[in-house]
Amino acid sequence: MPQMIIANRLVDGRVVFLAPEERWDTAIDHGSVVDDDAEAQQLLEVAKQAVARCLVIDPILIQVKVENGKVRPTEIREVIRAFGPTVRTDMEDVAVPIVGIAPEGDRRAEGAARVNRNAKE
Amino acid sequence: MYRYDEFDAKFVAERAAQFRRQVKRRLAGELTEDQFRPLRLMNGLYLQLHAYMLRVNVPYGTLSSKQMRTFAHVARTYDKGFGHFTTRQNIQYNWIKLEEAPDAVKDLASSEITSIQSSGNCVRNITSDQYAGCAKDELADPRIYCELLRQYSFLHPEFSYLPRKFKIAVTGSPNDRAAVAVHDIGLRMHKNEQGEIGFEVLVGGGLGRTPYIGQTIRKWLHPSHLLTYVEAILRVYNMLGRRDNIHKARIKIIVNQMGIDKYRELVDKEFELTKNGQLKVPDEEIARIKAYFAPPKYETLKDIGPELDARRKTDRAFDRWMRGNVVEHKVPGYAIVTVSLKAPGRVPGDITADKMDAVADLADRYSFGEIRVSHRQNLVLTDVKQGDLEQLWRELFALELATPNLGLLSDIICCPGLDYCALANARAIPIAQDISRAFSDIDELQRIGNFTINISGCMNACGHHHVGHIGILGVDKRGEEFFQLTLGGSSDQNASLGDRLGPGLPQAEVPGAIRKIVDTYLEHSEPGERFIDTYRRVGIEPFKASVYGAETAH
Amino acid sequence: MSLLKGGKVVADTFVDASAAEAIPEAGAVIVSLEQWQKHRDALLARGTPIGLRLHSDQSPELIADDVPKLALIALEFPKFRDGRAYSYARLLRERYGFKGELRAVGDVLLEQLFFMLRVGFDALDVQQSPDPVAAFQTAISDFSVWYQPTADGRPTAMQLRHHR
Repeated sequence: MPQMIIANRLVDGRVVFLAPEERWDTAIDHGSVVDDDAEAQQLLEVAKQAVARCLVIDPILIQVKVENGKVRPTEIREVIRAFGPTVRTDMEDVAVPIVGIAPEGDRRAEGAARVNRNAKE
Repeated sequence: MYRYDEFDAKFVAERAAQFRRQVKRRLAGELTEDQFRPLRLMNGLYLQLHAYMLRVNVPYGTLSSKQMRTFAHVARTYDKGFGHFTTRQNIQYNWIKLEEAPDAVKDLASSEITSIQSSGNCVRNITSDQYAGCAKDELADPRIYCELLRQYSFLHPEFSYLPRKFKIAVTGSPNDRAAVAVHDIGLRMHKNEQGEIGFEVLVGGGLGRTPYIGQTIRKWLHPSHLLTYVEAILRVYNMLGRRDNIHKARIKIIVNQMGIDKYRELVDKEFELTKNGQLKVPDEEIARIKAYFAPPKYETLKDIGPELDARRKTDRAFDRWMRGNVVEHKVPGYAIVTVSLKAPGRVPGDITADKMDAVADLADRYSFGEIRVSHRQNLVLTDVKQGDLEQLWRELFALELATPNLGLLSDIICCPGLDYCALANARAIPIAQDISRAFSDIDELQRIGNFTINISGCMNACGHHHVGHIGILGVDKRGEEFFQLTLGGSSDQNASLGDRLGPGLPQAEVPGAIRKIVDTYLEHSEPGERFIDTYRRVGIEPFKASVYGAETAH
Repeated sequence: MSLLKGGKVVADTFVDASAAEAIPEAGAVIVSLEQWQKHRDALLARGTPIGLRLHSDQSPELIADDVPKLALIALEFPKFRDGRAYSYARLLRERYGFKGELRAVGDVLLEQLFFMLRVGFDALDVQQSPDPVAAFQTAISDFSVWYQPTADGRPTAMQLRHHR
C-alpha cells in the first residue's frame, strides 16, 4: 500500500508532506510516495530529524492512492487535512433564501421567491 | 460591563509577554513540543487539522462593541476573515500561525480580551446566561460572581495542573439558560428561607464520554463564601481526582465514584478550615464589581405591545422575526434581540469579520455598545428599544443575521467536527447544513415550536449532543462516518441526558430521520406540548419505530 | 541535579536515602514515608536534620503531627502534569505551619517555578536546565499582579484595591 509522511509545520501549523531531498511541501502531489515498509521507515527517520530541527510536529505515515499523478489519502481525516475543510463558508449559494422573512422591498425577497418556485418544480 | 483596572491590564500584558517568550523559545528549539504543549494550551492555542486554533475567552458571554471590532481585526489580520462562536461563549480562530500568535494575543490584550486558560487542565471560561442583567425572570445579575471567579481562577498557582479541565457556569435565573447542571461546578442563584440571595452549588455535571447531571453539594451558599467554597471543591478534586486515565479524570467521575455525600463531607471539612480566611469576599469587593454591572442609562419608556402587534399583523415577515428572535426585557419599553448565526446552509456559529464589525455598529446604535454570546452559538443585543425593533430587523436581515429560528429546529448547536478538529471522528457541519436546509420553512418551524438539535463530531461532546432534544453524535464505523441519534436531552433547570435511539445512520439518512421524529412528535403531541414534553410522556418507542421500522422497535 | 534556593544554585546538604536500601548512620538525611514510619524514633534520636520525601499520592495529612520535627519536606512531581503537590505545599505551609525547606523534586519545569514559589516551595530540584539562575530570575519576574492569596505574603490585587 503506498504511503507518505504528513505533518504540521511548526511555525504556522500548516499541513505539509515530506517531499524529495528532505523538503516539506504543502501540495500532496509533490510529496514522496513509497511502496515498501523499509522505505516508509526511512521517511519516518527523516521526519523525526525535522522534528528535532523544529521544522515540523507530529509526522505520521499515512496510506494513499495514486492515480494519474494525483495523490489522495485513503482516510477521510487525512483527505480533509490535505485538501481543506469540506464546508464552504464563502459561497453565496450555500445559504438558503427563506421565504417570508424578508422586509418589503428587499431584493432578497425576490431571490427567495425564485428559489422556492424552482424547488417546487 | 467589567473594565480592567490597572491591575487587570498589567496582568494580561505580563501574560502576553510571557507567552511571546514561550513561543520564541519553542521556535528556537529550547522547548520541546511536549514541554510547550501545556503552556500553549493554557493560552488557548491548539494544534488542529489544518493549523493552530486560538480559543479566546468571552467572559460570561459579555462583549463590548470595541472588543467585537478587535475580534474582526484578529480575523482579518491573523486568520481567514472569520471566527466561530462556541458552546462555552468563546470565539475560535481556525487558521492561526504560531509565529503570529503572540501578536494576536497582544492585540486582544489591548482590548481587555484574553485567551488565558481557555484550554488546559485548569479552570476554564466562566459561562453564564446570555440575558444576564436584563431577563425578566432574573433574581440577580450572575456576571458579578462570574467576574469574581474569573479573577480568582486566573493563574491560580494551586490549580493550574488539575487532573483535567474544569468548567463553571452561573445562572441568576430559575430558568437556566447557562446549562449549569452539566458543568463541573454549577451555581444557581436563589433565595433562602430568610429571603437572602445565595447559590445552590451543583458539582460533578459534565458531558463527554461519561455524561452526568450535576448533584447538589450545597443547598445555599452565602456570596461572601463563593471563593472559599469553590476553593474547597477544587482542592479536594486536585488531591483526589484520578490521574491514571485521562478519560476518568474529571470531577464527575470521582463524585459519582465516592458518592455526593462523601464528597460533600470532604469539601465541608476543608471549607470549615478556610471559610473565614483571606479568601472570604469582602462586601467592598462585591460592591466594586457590582458597580461595573450597573444598568445602562435606560430611558423611561412604555411597552408598545399594541403598536408592535398592529405592525405584525400587516407585515408577516416582521411578525415571524418578532415571534422567533425577540424576548421580553425587564425594563418597560425594551426588548432582548437574538442575532442569529444560524442562516440555513451556513456554518452554525460562524461569522465573517465584516459582519462582526456590522454587529458592533448595531450594538453601538441600538444596544448601549454591548453584545452577548449565547452558548447556542448566537449573539444577543440585550437592550433594544421596542420602538427600534423594526428598523433593527431590517438591518439584521440585510446582514443575513435575522433568521427567526431561536430554539427551533434550524437553530442547531454544532461543533467544528472533522472539518477542523483533530479530535473528531466525523464531520458535524455538513449534517447541520443538510438539516437546516431541509427545515427552512419558518412557519413550519414556528408551528413545531421549541426543538433543539445538538451535533457533536466525537464523544468529547463540544456540541452538547447529550443535552439536545435531538442529539447527534458522529462516530467512525470501519472508516465511514455514521451518526447516532439521541432523544430527550435538555440543559435547562429540568436537565436530562438523551436516550440512544438506535444504530448509527449514514449522513444521507439523517435529515429524513429528523423528519420522521418530527412527524411522530406532531402525531402524538397534545396541545401546548413541546417535543421534550411529549417525549417525556410517550417515551422513545414510537420514535424508534418511526425511524428504524416497527420490527426493530423492541 | 541543580538545587535552586534563594535564586542561587546551592549544594544539597541532605542525603536522599528515600529510595535506598539502608539509611546512612549519621548526617542530614531524606527518608521516604515508609522509612519514616519504620525508623521514626531512631531518626529522631540522631539529632540531625530529617527530611521526608512524599510521593504524589501521599497527602501531608498523613504526617501533619510530625511537621514540627522535620527540617525538610520534598514533594514529588512524577510528571509535570501531576499537580497534587501544589495543594500539598499550601497545606504544609498554611495549615500545618511547616517552616523548613519545602523542596520540589521530579519533573520540575522552569515554566512552573512561578506557581511553585507562590504555593510555598523554596527549593527546586531542576534537572534539565542550562542556566537555572537566569531561568529562575525570568520566572519570578514574569508577573507583578496576583489574584489569589497564598502564604507567600504577596498582596493580591483585591487587597491592593482596598488597601488592606
